[in-house]
Amino acid sequence: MTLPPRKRNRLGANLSANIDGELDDECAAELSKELRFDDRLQQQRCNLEQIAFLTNAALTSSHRVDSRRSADQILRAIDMTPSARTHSRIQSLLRPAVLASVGLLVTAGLALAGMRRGGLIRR
Amino acid sequence: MTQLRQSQLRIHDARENHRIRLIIDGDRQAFHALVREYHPLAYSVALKTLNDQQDAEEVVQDAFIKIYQLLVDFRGEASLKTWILRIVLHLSLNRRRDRSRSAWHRLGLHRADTCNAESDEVSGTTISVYETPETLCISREDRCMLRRLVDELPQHLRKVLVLNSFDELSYEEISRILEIPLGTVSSRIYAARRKLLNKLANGELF
Repeated sequence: MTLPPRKRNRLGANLSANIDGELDDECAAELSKELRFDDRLQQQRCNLEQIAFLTNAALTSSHRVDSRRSADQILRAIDMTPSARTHSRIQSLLRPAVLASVGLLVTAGLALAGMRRGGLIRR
Repeated sequence: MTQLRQSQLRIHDARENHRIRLIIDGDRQAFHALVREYHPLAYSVALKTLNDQQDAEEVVQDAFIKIYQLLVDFRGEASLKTWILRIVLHLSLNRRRDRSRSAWHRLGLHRADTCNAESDEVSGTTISVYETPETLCISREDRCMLRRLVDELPQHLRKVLVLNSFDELSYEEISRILEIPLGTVSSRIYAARRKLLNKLANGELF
């Protein structure tokens, strides 16, 4: 019996997720029931396993980096970038300064409104 | 999530927060340690996305400089690892896009370079090549060809496939890095594998 496309895709995605160990126990149990007597599904699983293995093998790099040396280089690059050095410090000071300014403005506005209502200031 | 896992996460978050505070306050050793910890994974993500060692090294360096600048704005909505990888991936994809506009790439001349990219030369920070069980199981030519096929996948499929090739990244983490639903991660990985299988069936590898 041919499955509708949506169900077929969902089954395929479950097969693929199962290969990565990402399927929850309930779905995995359901899937293994489907696999038991379905040769086509078993073949599909086999194909997906193979491609997953080959892709991961192909993408695995045989090069490793010296993290310590990389970190040294990055710190040197930061030292040579003045904006990078001061940016952090300025940003960390800016936020409290902005909050303080907004607070002062709000307080001043409220004080002004109060004084106008009290007739202390003419429009 | 179990209680033990929750408490481990809280400790991890507290340690991360402390380290971030130190870096913002100008502690270079703390930043150096952060780079040492995350650089291998960041470099691997960049390399798998760009398929070019030099580009990957440059992008990762730019990424960590950006991270140093932006750390003060880090709000902790995602983990530090997710945030760092998001930046690395974003810069890698930008570099890839810029590279694709070059005449070299438009004419397809980069393909020869891609297959020769695995040189045994040692760059400033790259340690010499060594074979792993994964790299030993297929020939260099087949590995090169498979990389080309992955490279030719649509970007939205390639991204998930590349991230999924890391054992330490679960579907959940991939969904947080890419900011897409978990179901979408699963269906895209499946779609990517199906596309590769179709290409193999059509004889595009051998």
